[in-house]
Amino acid sequence: MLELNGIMKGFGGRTVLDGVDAAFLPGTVTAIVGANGSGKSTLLKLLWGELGQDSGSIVYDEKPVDTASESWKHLVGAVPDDDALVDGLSIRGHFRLCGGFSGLSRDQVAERADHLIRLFGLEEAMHTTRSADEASRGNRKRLALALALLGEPRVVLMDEPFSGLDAERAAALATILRLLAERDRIVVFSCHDDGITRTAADRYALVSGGKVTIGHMEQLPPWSAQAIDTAGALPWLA
Amino acid sequence: MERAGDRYSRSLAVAGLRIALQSLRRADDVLRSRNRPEGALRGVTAYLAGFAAIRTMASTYVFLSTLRPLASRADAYGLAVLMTIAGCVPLAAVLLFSRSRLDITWRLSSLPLRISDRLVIASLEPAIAALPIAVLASLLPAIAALPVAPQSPTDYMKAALWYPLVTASLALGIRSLAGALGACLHGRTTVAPNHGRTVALAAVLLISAIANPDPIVNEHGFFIAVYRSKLAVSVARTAGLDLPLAPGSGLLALGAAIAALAFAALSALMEDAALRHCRARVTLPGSRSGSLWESWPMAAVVDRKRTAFWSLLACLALALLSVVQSAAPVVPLAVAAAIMLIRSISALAFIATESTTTRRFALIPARAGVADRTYFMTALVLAALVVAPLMAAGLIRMAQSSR
Repeated sequence: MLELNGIMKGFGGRTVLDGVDAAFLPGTVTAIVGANGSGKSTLLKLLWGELGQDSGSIVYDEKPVDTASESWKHLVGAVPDDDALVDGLSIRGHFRLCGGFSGLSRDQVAERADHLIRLFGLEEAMHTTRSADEASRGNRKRLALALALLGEPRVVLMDEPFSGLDAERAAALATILRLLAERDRIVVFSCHDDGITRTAADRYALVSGGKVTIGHMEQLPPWSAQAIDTAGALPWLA
Repeated sequence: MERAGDRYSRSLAVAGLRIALQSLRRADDVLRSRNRPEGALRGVTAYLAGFAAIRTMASTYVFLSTLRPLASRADAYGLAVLMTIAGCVPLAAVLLFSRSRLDITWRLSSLPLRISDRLVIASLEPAIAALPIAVLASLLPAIAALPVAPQSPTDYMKAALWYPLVTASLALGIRSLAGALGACLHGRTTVAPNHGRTVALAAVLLISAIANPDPIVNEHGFFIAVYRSKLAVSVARTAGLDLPLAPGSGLLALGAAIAALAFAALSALMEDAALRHCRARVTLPGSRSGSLWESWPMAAVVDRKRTAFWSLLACLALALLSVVQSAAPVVPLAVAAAIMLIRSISALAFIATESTTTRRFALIPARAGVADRTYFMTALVLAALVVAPLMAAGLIRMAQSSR
């Protein structure tokens, strides 16, 4: 189990996370939801070690973890919102670079890369692009997802993994997330799409006002549309 | 009521202006960026073009102020022709090696323009991108032709206009043909790296600067010194190089100019057709090039702009020149040290700057800083490989000097 105890994080004078207590369970897919700027990405960055918390602790399997440590990074597969791909590096080069530093053998990297390339449908992109930054947004996202699963992560953290994916790929990703949960992984992702969230996740973590509320997906309140004065909006397009 | 034609002309002008400004802004971005050796390379290129302009002005001044009383009309014409041809070399180099027009073609395709207008703007775009250097290079033939001016202002105008016109047409035609060929061979639809062009431009300007064409006179007549050899100015007439100035050759010169212009236009049309055709092509599996670094991914990250090969070629050329010209050993060694220093600082700056790459480094499950250190060490190794010819040239020159 991955627990957050009294996590506080602020930027400048603004507190984004204000004493967050939450627990993410193995075998479940949790969707982090909330308004723009509510702190979803900050929460994920704290978990994969890109940011450090101002106070509070993160506990995994009843042991506090240093999220900046190498051992924690081995346990985590992370997909940042911008995919964090390397300029000038080919798709296979990404697997070699990340796999090499992760301590995987050359054969292991090649075998897993072939599998992930097939699983995420990256074959065509490999042949039509020289470096990953030339690939389409959807292909870059799929490469970032594949890289997160190259090692043997126990915790899979994804920031907006469905953005840029077509409906078919999004459905495939939802299946993969479910598969990871069935294999006792902790799966956490952020998402703005209500339909995808309800399909792919079985729990939600609602970030609002610096706090996190966790519950079963059936308990997630329906999202209400932002109130817009339709009569007075866009007067120049009248 | 506004006519559709007026509105169309205005949209064409606005599109042209927007492209010109974007090209200049991009050139400015390169010069301002702290992490791109290309900015330094462009600075060197501009310096070399400026050097050529000053050298040509000095040669013309020397002729007009001191050598002119000694020169016959034939000498003055021959000198002007050869100096003008030499002055056209930087212009040709700028037009041949300035940035590719692939990216502008993409941008133009989104604008509501007629194909002919699109083609005109696309053809002019390389000149806009290299505008500062192109302006300097365009001045050279006009300065070099000045020895003719005291003899005949009309002939001066002919020389000052005909040679640059033909040179520019041929250069644009050749680059269009090369572009068409490249599009057919590679089938690339994205912007190709153009560092090779920048390096080639700098190399041509460097060779032109080292050649240093200079008028001299001795008891045997007028000559132009190129490198350390002498070329008689009378060769201009015997070789038929004085086409626009030779008596009775007006129609022939006009025909040659029209043929050159037609060549440029036809080549541009061919390139446009090739680019549009190749855009629809799908690259076949296994046809991708540039997988040299596949087995050493960090080198691919360091050389992400694929400049190492071209830098190596430039260093090789400079090393050869150093040895052939018997340069002081400190010259290649100092250049090598400067390149090492620039590449080291560039690598450090890259590591220190937040980017998707450094973000990925931070996510890699390795000890903190291992990826960064590997990046820096790889950058150093790559820089050492690039400057190896210069180091070798420096050592060879040191050995030669100590004998």
